[in-house]
Amino acid sequence: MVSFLIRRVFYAIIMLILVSFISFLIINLPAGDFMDQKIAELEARGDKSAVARVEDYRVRYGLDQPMLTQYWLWISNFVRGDFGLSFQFERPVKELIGQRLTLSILLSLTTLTITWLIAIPLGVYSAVNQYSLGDQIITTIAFIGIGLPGFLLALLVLYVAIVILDQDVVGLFSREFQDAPWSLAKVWDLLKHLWVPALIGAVTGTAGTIRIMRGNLLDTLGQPFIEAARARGLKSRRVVWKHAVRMAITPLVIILGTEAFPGILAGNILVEVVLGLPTIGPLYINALTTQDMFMAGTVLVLIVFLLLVGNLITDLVLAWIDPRVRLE
Amino acid sequence: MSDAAVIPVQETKDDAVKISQSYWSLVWWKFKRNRLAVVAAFILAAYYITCLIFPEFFAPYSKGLESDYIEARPTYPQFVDADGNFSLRPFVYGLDEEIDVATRSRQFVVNESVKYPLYFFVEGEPYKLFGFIPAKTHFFGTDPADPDAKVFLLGTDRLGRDQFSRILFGGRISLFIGLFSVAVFLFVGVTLGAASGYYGGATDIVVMRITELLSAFPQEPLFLALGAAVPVSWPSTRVFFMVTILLALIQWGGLARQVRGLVLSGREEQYVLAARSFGASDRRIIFNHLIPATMSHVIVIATLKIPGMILLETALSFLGLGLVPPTVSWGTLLQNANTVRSISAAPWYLFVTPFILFAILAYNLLGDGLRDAMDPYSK
Amino acid sequence: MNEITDDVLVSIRDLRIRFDVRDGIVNAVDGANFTIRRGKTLGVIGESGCGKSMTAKAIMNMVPKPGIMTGEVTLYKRHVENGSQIVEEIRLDQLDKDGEEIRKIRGGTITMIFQEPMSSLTPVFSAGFHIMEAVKLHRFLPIESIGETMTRNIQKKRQVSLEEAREIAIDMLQKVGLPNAAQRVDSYPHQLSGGQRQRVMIAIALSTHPDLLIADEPTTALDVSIEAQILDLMRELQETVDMAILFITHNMGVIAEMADEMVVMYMGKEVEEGSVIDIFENPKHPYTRLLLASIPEIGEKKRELATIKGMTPSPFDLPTGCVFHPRCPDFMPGKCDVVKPLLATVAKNQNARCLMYDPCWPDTAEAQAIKAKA
Repeated sequence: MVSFLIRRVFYAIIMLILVSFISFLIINLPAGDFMDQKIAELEARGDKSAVARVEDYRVRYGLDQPMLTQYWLWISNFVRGDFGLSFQFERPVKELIGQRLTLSILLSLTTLTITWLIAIPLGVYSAVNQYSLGDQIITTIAFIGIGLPGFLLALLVLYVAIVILDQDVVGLFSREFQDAPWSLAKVWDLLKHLWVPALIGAVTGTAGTIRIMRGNLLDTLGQPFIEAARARGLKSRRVVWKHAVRMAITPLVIILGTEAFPGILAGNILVEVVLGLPTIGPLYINALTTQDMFMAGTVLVLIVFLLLVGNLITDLVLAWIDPRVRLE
Repeated sequence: MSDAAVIPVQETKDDAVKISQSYWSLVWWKFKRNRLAVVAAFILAAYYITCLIFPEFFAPYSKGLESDYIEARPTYPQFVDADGNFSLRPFVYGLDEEIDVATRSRQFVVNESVKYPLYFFVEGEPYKLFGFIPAKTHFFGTDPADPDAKVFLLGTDRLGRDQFSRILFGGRISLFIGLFSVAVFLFVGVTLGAASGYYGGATDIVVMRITELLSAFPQEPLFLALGAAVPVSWPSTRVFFMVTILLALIQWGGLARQVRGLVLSGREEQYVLAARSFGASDRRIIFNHLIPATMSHVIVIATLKIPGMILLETALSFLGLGLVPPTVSWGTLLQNANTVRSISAAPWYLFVTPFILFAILAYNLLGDGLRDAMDPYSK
Repeated sequence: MNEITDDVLVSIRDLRIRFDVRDGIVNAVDGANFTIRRGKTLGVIGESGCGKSMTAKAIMNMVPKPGIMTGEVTLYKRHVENGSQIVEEIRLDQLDKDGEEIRKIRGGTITMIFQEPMSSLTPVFSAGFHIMEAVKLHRFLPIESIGETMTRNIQKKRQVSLEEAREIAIDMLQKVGLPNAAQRVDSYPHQLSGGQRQRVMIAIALSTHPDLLIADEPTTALDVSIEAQILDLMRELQETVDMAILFITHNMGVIAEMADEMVVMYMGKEVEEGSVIDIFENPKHPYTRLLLASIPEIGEKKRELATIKGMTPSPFDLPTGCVFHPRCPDFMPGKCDVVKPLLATVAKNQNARCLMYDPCWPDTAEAQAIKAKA
């Protein structure tokens, strides 16, 4: 088990090095230097000190150096926790991400909770009552849900809210709380806004999870150990939840690790952009459009990092819930 | 060689044809019984005919034709006018410009006193069918003799262009991207997967490591970053092909793995061993024996992949990172609706969403039906 | 052998199980009648698909979903009340399938072991967990009372505690001969061999002191040497706890070794029943005779093993008359393919379903000849 873990961590580190380099390349691909634009802009405004400042950045981050040197500078700072500077905002990337991280995590956790709270009971019901009317309704809705892209749904929700209901659903706070310090009223205001993006984000995931849960559970319910458990006089509910669901949930744990972890940073970028949320998704898109390279690169590498961590944790959790994996 | 020696050979050949025919006829039989999938196939056929092949004919206007009607609301076809008169020929009301003094904005209101009847197969703007056959008949439109008569089924945009026409033309690009990127995706995925499975060794290791690297990236953020890396200065056609190829390139890994698995198990099948013992070349074995054996699987994957491709393009263009105007795609059309202001002032910009959603749903239904049908021996 | 006497544990009367499926109706069990006696072993033998397993499921009231069960399955459960023994009659077929009463019987009074020891234990739970789960549900201990203030009949009982259940589990695993039971109790199914898993299954089944153990081909999936061990174990355990066994198998040799009485089933009907000794000595039904003739015997050199010609018919398209007639060596044309035979007494405590013995059927010279031959 330990050697397995070490191997996996080693593998993850190699992947991370490769991925960070590729990310750096991609982010640096666009022709033209963001700094040139910035300087031209600042000069036009006649801000002499700012021009000097930007020139200073250029030297500090080695932007006049060859690509490999730039990468080395960036990645060695990165490991030390210095993610560089957002040239657009002229503030450290770390600070900008940090500001939005809490809300991003909160949003992704809420989305995940909603998804599982809805999907698992429905999936189990659907499988236990296969071919019943309820099952048919659930599978149909799940089928449509899988094809519903979140950002289009978000646009439609915006339309309904703005044009029909005349409600404010954009963002995570009402205007009066936008810059207010944290208070109970602000938390309440947040919760009032949070459920809309969380619900939209949950639609696709819920539909997919229902389908997986139903399929797995149907397979499991056909196994001899289910009949054996029934023959021991267990209640139906216990047979289903304790024996069958316990077995059928394994693939969901894999999904949890590979989607929920990177989802903290990039759960549903498009929905976040459409609804204008103060989360990391819109920050990333903004950085991509303005070629704010350290910002975009950091988010991309962090997402990959979370994905790899998620994979590792998945392996551990799988070992914990499934003795067959544990004792290999 | 007597004749008798020849006849049995022909017989076996016939048998082989019969067997493969019966597989596909079984697939067809099972597919036909899935009503939803058949309906989906018809919906998709309608999409492809109206958007991909003949948008010039079905759209009343060309995609670039500007008018004085700026962000005008949709005028829906009517059969009964304000006075309760019924006419079998549908008509649309005229639009009047009105200045809202309070918000100092211009908007259009329906004027129920002006009626423009709609005609089918009217003469309109000239266009070139398939790019070279000159024509000017449109499926429907207003009286060409009346220059004031306009029909904006789904409203107009900021330059007064007809949304309905632009959605059809946008569908041409979006649907084509779906097909084309899936074609590239299939080509890369199947070729590399088959080669990896068949040759094994170094080829296998290299291909598999690349797919692993690809799968280490989360797809959506990677695609957005790649899309952003496409230079803005490029001509629109080149951007279009670049986006298409990027779509395929970030996704081929999964397919390659599946095909590799199928080929690995197929490599040991008797007919492949037999072909090899006859001295068939590797290329021949791969293309004539192994790839056909994976066909049904691949067709299903491809069908289910197309809606994802269309959606990714739409998302990318919606964010302004992919195709940009003047290219008309569903994604660029949706860009109009990317602010709260435009949704509240001109909600008809959102009319493109149902077009996208129905296409996606139809593809999913078709793919699901095909998956069931391709495995006719199940159930 | 169908009269209800004191030693009857379970009686099955005219049991029919029908499945309405897309291609038609399947009568998995088509009018079975037999009796399981206390402390005895009843062997049920037949080819796969003859309805043996479905009969077992009917006793547990666990016929799977589209199946429709008719007939009577009665359990005669003994209680000690007021110092005297009373026998409670429970119609198992009329109980709610997921109700309280049947669940007390399932896994308590009647337990079952299955054909697939490999997949009959939930993979994520340890061997001990399975036993403890059953024990917690079905075993009750008397609450200790001080002096004789409490008479026996109102003696209260309580559930076993977790520690007690664990002790019982270890004890049971020891009894079924699992080495290192104290450690093995925490083993997961995949760490055990097929034979060990079947021992665990037996431990689960016996941990609740059942009156009846249904063994549905318990050794089919095992190696021959392991099979012998498991059979020995079952026989030994049966002697120590007064328990009846319904032993379902397709192996005549296993029946001979295990059972006191036996039922031969073919296409959902019993074709012959009686004591094992009688039937092995003097089989009456042609099917039974063929089954017996197909067993190889040590020391016999010349004899060619008999085979039964043909295949079991499709359940959707059963032969007319006696369902066995197309495969029967003693087929009487114009009779067997027309008349459905009834179960007839052929000897003391031995019945067979064949027109040769049917009392309603005139003793023709032909039938006489065949009987003489037998």
